[in-house]
Amino acid sequence: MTNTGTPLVELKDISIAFGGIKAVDKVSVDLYPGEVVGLLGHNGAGKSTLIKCLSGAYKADAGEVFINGKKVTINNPRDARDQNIETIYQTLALADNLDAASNLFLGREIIGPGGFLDESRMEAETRKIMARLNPNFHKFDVPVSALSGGQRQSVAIARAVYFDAKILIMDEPTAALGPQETEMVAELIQELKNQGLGIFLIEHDIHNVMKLCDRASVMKNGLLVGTERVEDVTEDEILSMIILGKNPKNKL
Amino acid sequence: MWAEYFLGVVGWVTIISAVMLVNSYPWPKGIVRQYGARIGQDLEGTFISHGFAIPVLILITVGICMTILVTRTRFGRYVFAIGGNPEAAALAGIDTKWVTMKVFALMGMLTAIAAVIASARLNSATNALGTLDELYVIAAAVIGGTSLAGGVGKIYGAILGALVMQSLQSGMVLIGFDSAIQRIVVGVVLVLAVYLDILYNKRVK
Repeated sequence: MTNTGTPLVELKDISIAFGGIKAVDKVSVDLYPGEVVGLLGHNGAGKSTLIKCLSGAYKADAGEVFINGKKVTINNPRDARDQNIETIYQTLALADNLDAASNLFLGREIIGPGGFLDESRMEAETRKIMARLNPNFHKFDVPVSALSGGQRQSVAIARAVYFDAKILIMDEPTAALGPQETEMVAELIQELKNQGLGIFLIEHDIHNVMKLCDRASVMKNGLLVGTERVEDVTEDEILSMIILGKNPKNKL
Repeated sequence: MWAEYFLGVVGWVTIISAVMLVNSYPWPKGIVRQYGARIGQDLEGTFISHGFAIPVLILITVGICMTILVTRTRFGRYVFAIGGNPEAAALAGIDTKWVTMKVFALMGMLTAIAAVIASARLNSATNALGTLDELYVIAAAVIGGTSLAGGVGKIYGAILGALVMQSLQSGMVLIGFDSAIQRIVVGVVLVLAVYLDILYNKRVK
């Protein structure tokens, strides 16, 4: 696959600092439709921070965001959602005291006639999407704190998938999952990719990155080390990018 | 289907008998005489029933309105979400500061209603009216199942909690406790309620 045309997302020279620490320093990455871009790096390399600038959780100090070639400003999560950007956070960002349906529609509740919440329709929609993502899921009337890690993960994934996302951000979606569930997420990523979504995947497991991603961007200490197509590099080369912060291609 | 009819009949009978009960108590003679003198009629020996106390009717109205607000509207859902996980609520696009502001405004309004009733009952108000009432309110909410950690609670629970606290207080007045001891008891009840809340939360997790 060659990347032609306008990228779905283009982050240009994004910088953000917390106090004196530059968490992200002039990082540029782009994402094309039907592509999975892996973001790699050590803990604290700035991957999550960079992605939070796109999802609206943080506001970048400097830099520009282009969606489909058009410049946009993302000041809060609502702006990001308006651009069809959905995020699965590392912490899942679920309200533990609410049930699956309430979490799925949090911030975007279905309002019935009379201006009140349409609980039955929200639950019906939740059942529909969960039947597709996780057929074993039946606990619709308990708070999500009573669910297992995998079930909670599937609620978070359902929330991102349900609202016709065009750009999906996954921050370590498989961190809390067993092998079987990880396989399910991998299949889902493949399926979403075929539907033409662009996916940013933050992932620590190098094997998953090689398997799932088309390109990999490596960050270290807030700086972008490099972006490589996974077919062009070996696992060792990516690892050395992560650890040493040097792009082996540049040396050649 | 018979169960629904049965419940309907039980409900109506309960309501009608409650109304009959509150209507079966007459006003005291002296108050009837005063009232008669005020409107210029001789009401000596007339049966005027107590009826529902207006504060109770206000309580029921507020209780129903708040229950609808909390369980059936976006605002109520957001309040619970923020209580459960403020970070998640913010990431879901909820303006948490604005919702918090609205919660405080709502609290102010409810306090105003309470103040109107309290001062109307005394027919006067001092600057110290309602001093330490916030303690009773917190105790009532916690006894009624509201979690201090946030995100859990029911309106009818808080009303029941208030009933418990008020029964306790009225009971202590009837027994003749000093007001200092009354406050100590209220404080102990509050501490106990919080302790049980913590204990229960630990058990759940």
